[in-house]
Amino acid sequence: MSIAEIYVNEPKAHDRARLARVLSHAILLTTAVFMLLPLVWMIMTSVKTEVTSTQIPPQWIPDPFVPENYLKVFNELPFVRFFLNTVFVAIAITLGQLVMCATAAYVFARLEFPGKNLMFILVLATMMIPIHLYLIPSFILMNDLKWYDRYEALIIPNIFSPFGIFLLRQFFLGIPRELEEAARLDGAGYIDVFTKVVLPLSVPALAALAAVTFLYAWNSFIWPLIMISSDQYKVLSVGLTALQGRYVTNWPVLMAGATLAMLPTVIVYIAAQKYFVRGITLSGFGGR
Amino acid sequence: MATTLDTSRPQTIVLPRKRGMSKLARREALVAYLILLPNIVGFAIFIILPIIFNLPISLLEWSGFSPLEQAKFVGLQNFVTALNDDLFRKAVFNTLYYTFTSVPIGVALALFFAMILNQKLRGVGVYRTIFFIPVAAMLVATAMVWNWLLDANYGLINFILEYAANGINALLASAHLPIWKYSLPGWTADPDWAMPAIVLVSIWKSLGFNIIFFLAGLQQIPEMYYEAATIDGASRWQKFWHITLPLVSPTTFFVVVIAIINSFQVFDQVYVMTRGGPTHATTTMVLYLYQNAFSFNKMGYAAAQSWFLFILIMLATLVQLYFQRRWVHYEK
Repeated sequence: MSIAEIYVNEPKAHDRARLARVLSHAILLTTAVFMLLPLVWMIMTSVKTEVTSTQIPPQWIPDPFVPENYLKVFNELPFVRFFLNTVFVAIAITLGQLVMCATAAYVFARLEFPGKNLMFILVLATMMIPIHLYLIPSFILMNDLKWYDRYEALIIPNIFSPFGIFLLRQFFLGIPRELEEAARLDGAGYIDVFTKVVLPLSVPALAALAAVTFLYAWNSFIWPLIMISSDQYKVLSVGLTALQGRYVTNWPVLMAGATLAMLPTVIVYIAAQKYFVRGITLSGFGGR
Repeated sequence: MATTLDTSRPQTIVLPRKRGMSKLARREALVAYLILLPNIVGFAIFIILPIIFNLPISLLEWSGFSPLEQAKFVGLQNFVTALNDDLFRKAVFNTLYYTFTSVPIGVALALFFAMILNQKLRGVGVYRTIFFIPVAAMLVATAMVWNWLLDANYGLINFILEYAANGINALLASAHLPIWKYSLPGWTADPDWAMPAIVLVSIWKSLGFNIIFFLAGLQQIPEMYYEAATIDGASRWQKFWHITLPLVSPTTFFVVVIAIINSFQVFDQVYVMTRGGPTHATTTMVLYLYQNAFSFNKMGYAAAQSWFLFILIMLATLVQLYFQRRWVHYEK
């Protein structure tokens, strides 16, 4: 509500502004409950027994409290292994993308060379073609490289990211050239300028890319579903569907598994919210 | 360099460059290529090569088990098969049904909530965080949770719906009106309700994602436009219709384009919640493509289907680019 509005028709506008505020809060509160309900219900169900989970009317506070469902998840499937695989793969993809995208983005932002525009257009063009459109050739390629059912298949193809290059290039273009030129005059080479001047200034953009990439890597599904067959290399998303196959309607165990798979990214997001938001607005990309 | 000596005649600066690059420029280009090399190799092998090879593979009849060299060349047969395959046509229909329900509803809701969240309200930051949590959560896991919530017999959603419906009936009875003979939705167990269930999950999941863009777009609208409109006596609705909607339209356009591209590729929630059932009511294009490639061992056929998906996505994007000048308002 603007000052002008309150000025023009004072008493009425005041009441209306208050009504609008109350209404906004009511709408937001109701929707927030709807947004959180599935996750609250997931955690509640995860500590119920199979019998109490299907009770009508539903039991709001779990009684008896059964944390053993989590042990079941860990014992029946190599869930610890899935968890560690996911951590390893997500971190490896994130670090790999940071190195690959930062170096390429810097070259596109600052250096001049023949074919630069053509190459950058090619990068942008691949951004328009989603992975689902060349899934089968990728699968064949991973087989030919003998990477099928290995970490390499999960990690290496995913460290090349047109989105990441685009995001960081935009950021590098915004850094004043004078800072780099001053360092160059002091005799610093390309690598020194990049690592000692550009990278320290780019921490916010790098964090944004890291946050979004980690989220994407942790949550990705169809790629590991296709590329991995043995439990040794499975990640959580695929492991969850295995859990689903085993405990078809044992909802408490399934919800325990879902909680374990979901919690890390939700916690990381709440801690690093602003980087996620920046990463998503800068690149138009993120969890689907 | 000789060129820098004679600054009075600029053409002498230009001429030597035409003959070739200076030593310094050559060095710079060399450094650039060296740094780019891993990326060039990576993009070529893992993105461009598969894109190119998708075409020849779509012309083959191949199970994926025998060596690729022994696959049978069938020309455009896979494309003809797709056009005559009832299930493929159903998958196209289902994908379009999903896209044209989830995108308009999802985008409209996102704009609505972004406008509410864009006000100076107490606790607005907490709401933003809450709205975004589903975006951070793993889709496979949230789809499992929704499967439980939407369980036809024991799910929380149907319990709440039944509770609400009984409440309405109690009111009707007390007013001596005929009661409402309702039936609860079967959700993923019912062919008519399965796709709405998938749409519901997708809207819940992506609401926060779209809100982020709208918030960024809304924050760029200058406050003075609203102040001027207020002085002219414009109502809230008029302000929304004549200021907010046109000025946020570049964001709306962007969000719609991205949402449609993503929706055409819906997979995770369908795989987890229904596997395309019941009676193929939720078989989408990517799910059918996946099944053909990895369950029915028809790699060539699946590759051909991915071309149809590609063409659909391209068409949808081009149509939007063409029509954007009709409704997207760019600041001069």
